Parts: sequence; structure tokens; C-alpha cells
Amino acid sequence: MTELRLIPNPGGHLSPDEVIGRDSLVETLWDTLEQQSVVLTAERRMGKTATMDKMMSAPPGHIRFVYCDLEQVHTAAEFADLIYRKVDAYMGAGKRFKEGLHRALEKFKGASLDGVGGITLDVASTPWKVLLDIVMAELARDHQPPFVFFWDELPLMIKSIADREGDEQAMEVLDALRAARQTYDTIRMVYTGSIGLHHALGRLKRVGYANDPTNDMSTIEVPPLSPPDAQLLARGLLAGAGISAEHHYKVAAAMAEATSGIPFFIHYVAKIMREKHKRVDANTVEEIIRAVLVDSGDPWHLSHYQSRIKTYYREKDQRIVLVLLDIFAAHERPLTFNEVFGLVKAQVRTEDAEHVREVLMLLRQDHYVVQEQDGTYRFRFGIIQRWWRLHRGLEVIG
Amino acid sequence: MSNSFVSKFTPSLMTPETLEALFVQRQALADQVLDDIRHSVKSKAKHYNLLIGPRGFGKTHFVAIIHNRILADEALKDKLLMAWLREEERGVSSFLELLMRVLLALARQYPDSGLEQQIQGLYDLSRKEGERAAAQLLIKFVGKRTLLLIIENLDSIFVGLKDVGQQALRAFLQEHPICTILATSTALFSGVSLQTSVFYGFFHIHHLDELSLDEAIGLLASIAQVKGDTELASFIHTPTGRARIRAVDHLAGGNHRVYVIFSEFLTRASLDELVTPFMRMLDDLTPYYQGRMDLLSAQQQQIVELLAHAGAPRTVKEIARRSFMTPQTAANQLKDLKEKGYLIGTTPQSDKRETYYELREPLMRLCFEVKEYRGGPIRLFVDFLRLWYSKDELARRLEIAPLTCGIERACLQRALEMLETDSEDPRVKACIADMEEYRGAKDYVHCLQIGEELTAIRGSKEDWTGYGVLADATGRREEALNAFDRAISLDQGWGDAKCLKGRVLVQLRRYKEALAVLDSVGQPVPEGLELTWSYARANALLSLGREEESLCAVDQAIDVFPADGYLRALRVRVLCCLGRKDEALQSYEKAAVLFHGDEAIAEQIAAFSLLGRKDEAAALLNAHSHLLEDARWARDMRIVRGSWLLDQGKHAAALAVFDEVIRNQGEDAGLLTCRAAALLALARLDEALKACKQVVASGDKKAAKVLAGIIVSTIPVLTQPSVDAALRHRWLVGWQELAEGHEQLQVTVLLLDVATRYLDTGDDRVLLELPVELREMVRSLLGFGEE
Repeated sequence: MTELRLIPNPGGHLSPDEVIGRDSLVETLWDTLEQQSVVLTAERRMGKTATMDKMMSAPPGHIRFVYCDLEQVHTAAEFADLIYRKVDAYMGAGKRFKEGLHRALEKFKGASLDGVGGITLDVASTPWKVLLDIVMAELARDHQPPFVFFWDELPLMIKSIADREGDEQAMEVLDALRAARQTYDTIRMVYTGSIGLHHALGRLKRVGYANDPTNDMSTIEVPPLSPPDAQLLARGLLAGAGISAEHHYKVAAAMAEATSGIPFFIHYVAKIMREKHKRVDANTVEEIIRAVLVDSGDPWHLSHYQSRIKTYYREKDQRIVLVLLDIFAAHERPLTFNEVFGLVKAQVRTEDAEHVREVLMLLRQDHYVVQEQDGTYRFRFGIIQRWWRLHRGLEVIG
Repeated sequence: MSNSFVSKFTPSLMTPETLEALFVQRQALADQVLDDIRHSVKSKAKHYNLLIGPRGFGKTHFVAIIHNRILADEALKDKLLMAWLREEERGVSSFLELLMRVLLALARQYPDSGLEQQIQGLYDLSRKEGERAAAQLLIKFVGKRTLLLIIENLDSIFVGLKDVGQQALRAFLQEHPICTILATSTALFSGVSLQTSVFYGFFHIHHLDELSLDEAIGLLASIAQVKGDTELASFIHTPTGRARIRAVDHLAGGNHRVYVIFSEFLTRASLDELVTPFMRMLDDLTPYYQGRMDLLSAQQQQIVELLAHAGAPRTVKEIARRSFMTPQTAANQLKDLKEKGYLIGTTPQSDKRETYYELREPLMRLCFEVKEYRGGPIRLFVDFLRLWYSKDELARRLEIAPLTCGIERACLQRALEMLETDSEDPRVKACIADMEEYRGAKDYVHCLQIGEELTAIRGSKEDWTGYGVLADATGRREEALNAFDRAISLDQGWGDAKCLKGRVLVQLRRYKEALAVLDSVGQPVPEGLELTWSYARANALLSLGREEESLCAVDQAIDVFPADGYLRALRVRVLCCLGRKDEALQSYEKAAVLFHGDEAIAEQIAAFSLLGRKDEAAALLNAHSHLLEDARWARDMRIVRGSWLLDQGKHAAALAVFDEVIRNQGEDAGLLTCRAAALLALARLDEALKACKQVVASGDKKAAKVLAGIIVSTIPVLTQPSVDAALRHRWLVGWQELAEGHEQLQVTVLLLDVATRYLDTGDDRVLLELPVELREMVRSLLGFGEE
């Protein structure tokens, strides 16, 4: 077997064949997309974009797709326009599709829109909606196999539309997309982004948005790498970066464990080794991690785990969030809800268990906390727990 | 390579060879960045590197090196395109504008590609259409190749792009992974460091280090080589040269560009030659520093100007008060200025609550002050002079400066006064800090180098003495002696240097000189050196055969330092030499408790050997044979082993041990005596005689006494069949010559003479020339029975 050799590239664009440990996830995603759309969730640095790249590098033969990075989109009209142009460019060779699309657009310009695409359109609605629907309708008409839209940074776009055009408009975009999925059964969408969609939705819900625009979609998470995959990645990076060690396996195991299997961190450790260490052992990994955790420059951007609490959590939740995370960070063992609630009450004057449960749910959605099968809770990633403990000056409790 | 052009401000004007020759400190980083680019070409992976460093830190030099190396790489020729947005690119205010700059850079780099014409068509489109068309044109032009985007001053580009442009760029890179990026910035900026920015965590960031002193010397050596400037090449390795480089280091804070500028007049000796280029340099640098000021906010500019005029560090409170800011605002601005590399902060040990801020590069202050130059002993030039010249040099220049040159004399006078009154010479401070660091790392070679610099910068008696100590510690004893002599010449009564010189002379076995200098130390002996003085003096007395005096000196010292093991061990040696072995044994027992671990064992072995308990010494040494390899005791332990082997009749093995010690650790009279004994035992008389001559020549009386015994012990050797009459005679004549003028050897030579003649003739009347007791001794040695 040829030795795997990878170049450390933390933060950069990875070649799909260099994305390790995601084969079965990619297979699951494609299988799911045969049936329904997907919300792809992931903690930062988990390799969400790399996973999508890997998917798109080898799609099942019958599936077609386009990829859009939506962080450049700030209005609903821009969104529809981008979709139209992407599909138009993709279908460039499909003359029949193009002609149909243009016929539909011509028809719209003639102001007679009823019945286009098999649905009734409100003539008074904004043009972006019409354009979006025409594109979807034409795609559905022309292609029986699923057509997948990969929409990266969709929550950012929703937030941006809400900021510029108002919350109503953002809600309408989400509803229009859900309607398209309901209407055209060959259309599939993959929602993903660096911030959780639940945060964008939370804001809309607070101003009266009652729909659940993703309840027809399957939520799939990009998890950290399994220990064998994390070790495989680490070994590949050690070999590719020409890092010498007496026991590569031991060093790779230390890298995998100390980074909680998060691929970006594994790449980063390898990069530092390449830059600063001619020869390494398992202690080198610990040295690098220790230096990173106390580096005032915060090269792993771990302070984000604290700063984002102010951005995405309601003011009334923030105190509980910090207390909960302090509790989980300090405890090595998982805790029952009753234990957690008792510890919260020792610091915050509250008897509102439901509120604490609600916040706990948000923390789970944000990948801070995980619930074990026996119902207990713990900090999800050892490396983040370790940083939190250091950063907040917490003593370890057994 | 010589007389090549070295540009101070535009590295891209230099030839690739010159750029490579002047590239210091960052070879490994350049190799990594090149690996990343090659990987981006060979695979679908794309790397994004961002270099952070203040102006003048060699960022453009770095990217020019990468650019040239890629151009020279045939393997990349058809697979990689390069677009270099240089630091002059200004006015990039949108993603469209950025795309246009990239396309134009490509058109310049690849003039035959026809790209220029296609770009012209873009100007007829609307902004929105133009952006799409430009992106498509770029994607099409790059095709299956990879585009290396070299973007200087990415921070400025990002400011122009604003959020919308940055988002569009990020989306473009995400959707079309055709670019690998090498970017530079003078400081971290919100576009990459704010967690809400779209490029947060996108780049692999490399903070470029400032030049260390050694790296600066490397750079200057390269400049000298490139320019063919042999004077500069040799000057930078002199103590004065290093001191001047340290002055530049203080003025410029490790800034590469400033070193290039200073390289032009680093060797200038006279003030005349210095003034013009110095002022021109300030003129050259002023726009550069003003440019750096322009990058700051109004409040930050205010703080920098305040500190520039203050001329000394200031606390947050003072800065806030003088700038009419709240302490909180001032603290925030100071923190930012520190991160941007404009200021440094110092927290004194005596009050850790306060931080004192000052400009990181004093040269910046000098450049601001040059505008205020209106004759008179200007502070900036005085500052410069006191850093540039040593005290001696300044005094010399003042002496020869014509009386008509009023300003020059005033500047020199003031600089000299400042050097005398101001204990805070920054170069001295830097030297001492470096010295502490090297001392901590036990790197005495570098300590010595810095010690030498201190003698060049300040040259006080303390500096020379310190240098002497370091030279001694690194085994450069002659240099140490010279340094102590320099210190003594500055102060004839300087006991410290005398004590230390005495110690070194003892180590060099120059006992008479040692005793003379130690006896010249005035009483009381300088504090802290009493033990050094006592030990060295007692040692010298012992080696000069003045055992009783030595014992007296040791005993006096023991009264003062009763817990010093070395003094007590010396006492054991003195008593052994005096033949007072019982007392020596008692003294040893007192000494033994003062040592621990290996030291205790080594002392025990030495004492057993001196007390004649050689078997016990050898047994102990066998059990702790690692002492033979320990540099602290290897010499003594090996001699103990050799002596024991000699006693055991293993003469060849003993000789091998002695030879090895001489080879590795040098000879002395005692060791040569041992060697002579071994050679004699092996009947290698000619070599033995040579060794004996060396012993006698050393003037060591103790060794001469031992030799007397050796002469007698050779008599049985002369009876061996391998020793013929001719050899016997050579041996005798050799000894007779050797003993001439040495009273203590006369009797033994007489015995040898009688024994030789008896062996030659077999006539026992020859023996009757000796009194009965000596006659009996000779008979016994020749193997006869009693008379």
C-alpha cells in the first residue's frame, strides 16, 4: 500500500482526495439526497466545506448539482439572480432547457403568469420570487433525476437579507425555498454555513415567524474524525511534511487525541511541526497545544466560543450559558440534569428548570455540549473544554 | 559577485542573485511557502499564506524571492500563472476593481497572451456586468492552471473592498478554487482577525521576526560580499563593528531596511565622513516614517508624537494626561500601537502596576527631530554619537577636533558627558541582557563575544575584568591575562583583576608570577574574592616548594572559610608533601564531609593516592570508573590510575595513560615525571631523558625532588642486557648535563656515575669513591649482597 502523504493546509482549500475519513459520510449524504434535502451542520473547523467538495468531486452519475457560496448575497433579488445565472451557466449545453427558461421569462414579462410551472403565482409578488420559481419549474420539468443546490453560508445570507430588507423578506425567502421543495419533488437543497441556521431562525421566530422552514429536511452533522481516521490523517501529514519521529504512530495518536479529532487542528499541529520542529515525539504535540491554548494571538480562534455567546444568545440566556459551560468544563465526568441544575442554582438565583433546559438544547445545537445515551451531559470536545477551563481559570473537579 | 546594486526601498529592482544573496533569516519559511505553492499547482488543494511585518521588515524582498524562484522553475512554467499586486496598487475600492487589477497584472506578466485586448472590452460594461465578465475572463484565462496571487498590503486592499467586496472575493475563491495566495500586511487587520469577518481563519499567518544581532551581522556580511566591500566585511566582525551594529539594533529595532541603509556608513571612521550620510539617511527615512504615521488614527499619531518628543518612556497616566484622553482610551490605543509594532512597554520590577511606553524604533524619533535641526548641539546627533562611538573614541575625536569647529566640538563634548553621567547606555543594557540569556544557556562563547563588545562600548575596568573571567571560563587564558592587565592598567590598585589574574597564572603553572601578583593585592583582599586569593596563593606556594608557608596560608584561610572543601583538600596535599601523612589523613577526614556525590568520591580517590594508599584509590576508581570520563576530574583520576599501574609493574599501560592525558589535557612537571618513570621502567632511556629535561626546565622544585629518586631508581635498569655500554654512557652524560646547576641532583648523579663506571669496568675499587652508606645503596641497586 502506498504511504499516504499530505501537506498541512490549515484553513486552506483541500483537494478532495486529501479529505480523510469522510467517505461514509459522503455516501450517507448522497443516499439521503436521493430522497430529501439536507441541513448539513458542523462545528467550526470540522471540515464541512471539504466534505461538500469531496461530495461534489464524485457525485452519483445521475445527479446534477450547482454550488453557490451565498455570503456575497445580500438581497432576495440577488439570490434569485444568482440562482438563475448559476443554473443558466450549468445548463449552457442544454439548449431545450434554456429555451424553456427563456420562454417562461418572456411569458412573465407579458404579465400573464398564472399556471407557470404548475403553480399559481401572485402577480403582485416581487420579481425575485417569480424568477426563482421559473428556474425551479424549468429544472423540474426538464430533469427527472434529482437536481441538488449546495448553498454554503445560507444562514449568513438570511441574516444579511433580514438586516437589509427586513425580517419579513428573509422569512419569505425561506418559505419560498420550502415551497419549491414541496412543489418540485426532484429539487434538493443542501443548507450549510459557518453559523448555525437555528440562530438565524431564532431571530425570525422572535419577531413572529411561526414556520419551520427545514422540517422537511434531514439534519446531518459533520462530526469530528473517528480516532482511526484522525490518526490516519495525522500520519499522512507527518509523512507529507517530512517530519521525523521515532514512533510516527505514537505521535499521530497523540495528535488525534489532543485535538479531539478536529481536522483543522490536526493540520495546524502538523504545520507548526513542519515550521519549528525538526524531530518530534508525543510530547511535542502537547507542547504545541499548550502554546496554542495560551497564545494571546489565539491562532485557533478559540475565543470565538465565548464571544459568539454575546452575538447569538439572548441577553437573558447569556449568564446561564456561561455558568453551564463553566460547570461542564470543570467536571471530568458527565452530569445528570438534576446535578447541573443544582450547580446552576448555586451561582444564579433561579428556579426555572425549563429555561435551563432550553439553554442546554441551544448549547447542544451549537456543539458545546453533548447528551450521552444515559441522559447525562458533558462538554462535547475535550480540546474546547480544556481551553475553556484555562481561559476561565477553572479548577478540575473529578 | 561585487559592486551589485543594493536597493533600500525597492527590492524588486535588484537582480535575483542579489536578492538571494541578501536573503537572511527566512530560508525555511520561503521553502515552506514554495512547497505550498507547488502543492497548490499539483493538486486541487489551495494554500493561502499571509506575512505580517512592519514596513522595512523585508516583506517585499520575501515575495520577490518567491516570484523569482517560481519564474526559474521550469516545472511550473506551464502550470502556474502569477499576478503580483505590488504595494503601489492603490484605489482598489470594489471586487470588480480587484479583478481588473489582477487581470492587468496578468496582462503585464504575459504580454503575448492577448489578455490586454480582452480587458478593454470590460470597460464598456455596467459595474454589475463587468464584475461577472471579469470573473469569467479570469477563470477562462487561468483555465486548468493555478493562479498565484501575490498581494502586497492586503490590509489596504481589504479596507477598499469593504465587507461587500470581501464577501464577493471569499465567495469567488470558494466557488472557483483556482488561486493560491501569498499576501503581506504591515499588521494584523480586522478583515482577518475579527471573528465575524469572512476571511477569519482563512489565511495561514506568519508573523515575521525582527533581525537578531547575529542575523543582522549575517545580513551585513552578505551586503559586504555583494558590494565587494572588504572593509565592511572585516569590520563587522571586530568588537567595534559589533558595538556599532548593536547601536543600529537599538536605533532600528531589528528593521531590515535600516540595516541596509546603515551598511553604507558603518565603517566611517571620522566625524566628517559620518555627518553627511547620517543626515542624508534621516532625510531618506523621514518619508518612510511619515508614511507609517499616516497609517495611524489621529489619537495614535498624537501618542507617537508625544513619545517622540518626550525622549524617555512614559506611563499610561502621563500619556493620557498630556493627550487629553481618558486613561482607558489611552490604554487601548497604546495596546494597539504596541501590537502594530510602534511602541514597546516595560514594566519595572519595583512597580509592576505601571508600564512605561516608548518608541520601538528610536530612529523614528530622530527622523521627527531632524525637522527641528537649527544648529547647536542637537540632541538627536548627540544621541547618535554616544551610541556610535565608544568613550575612548569620543575623547580622541574631541582632542583632534579643530577649535574652529564649534558645533562638532559641542556635540562631542555633550555626548561624552552623557556617556559619563548616563548609566543607561542602551547598548550596554542590551549587552547585559544578552549576556544573561547566554549565561543562562551556559553558552560562554557568546558571553565572551558580548564581554568583548562591552570592552569596546564602555571599556571600564569592570568590563575588562568581566571579559577576563569569561575568557578564562572558555579556556582562553592568555586572553584572560591580557584583559586583567588592561583592567589593572586602568586602575593600578584594582585588586579584583589582580586576584583573578593570580588564579589564572596558577592554572597556567606560572607560580612565581602568580605569587608576585597575588602578593601585590592590597589588604584587605576585595570582597568576594578572599577565597580565590587564598586558594591560589597557597597553591602557588606549594608548587614553588614552600610547603610550610603554604600550610600556613591554607590554615589561615580555613579559619575564615572553615566549610570550604577545596581548601581542606589542598591542606591534605600540602601535608602529604611535607610527609605528615597522619595529619594529612585527619585533615582528609574533615575535608571528606564537605563533599557530596561524585565530588566526594573524586576527592577521596585523590587523597588515598596522595597518602600512598594507591590500592584503595584504584579500587575506588574501578568502582566509579565514570569519573575517568568526567571533564571535572578526568585528568586527576587518570593520573591516579597511571600511577597505580606503574606501581603494579604495568609500565606500558601506565605510559599509555600518561600519554593520553598529556595529549588531551596538556602536560605539567608532575605528569612528565610520571611519564619519565614509566619510560625508565621500560628501559627507553633516550625518551626518558628527554622527559626529564622537560621537568627540570619547568623549574618545579617538587618535581626535581622526585626526579632525584628516579635517577637512583634507574641504576638497576642499567644492568639489563638490553642496555649496552653506549646507551649507559649517553644516559649518564645526559643526566650530568641535566643536573648542572641543580644542587639537589648532584648526589644522585654521583651515584649514577659510580654505578656506570663499575658496570663498564667491573672494578669494585670504583665503589670505594663513595662513603659506606651510599656504597651500600649502589651495591644493593646493582643486585649485590652486602659487603
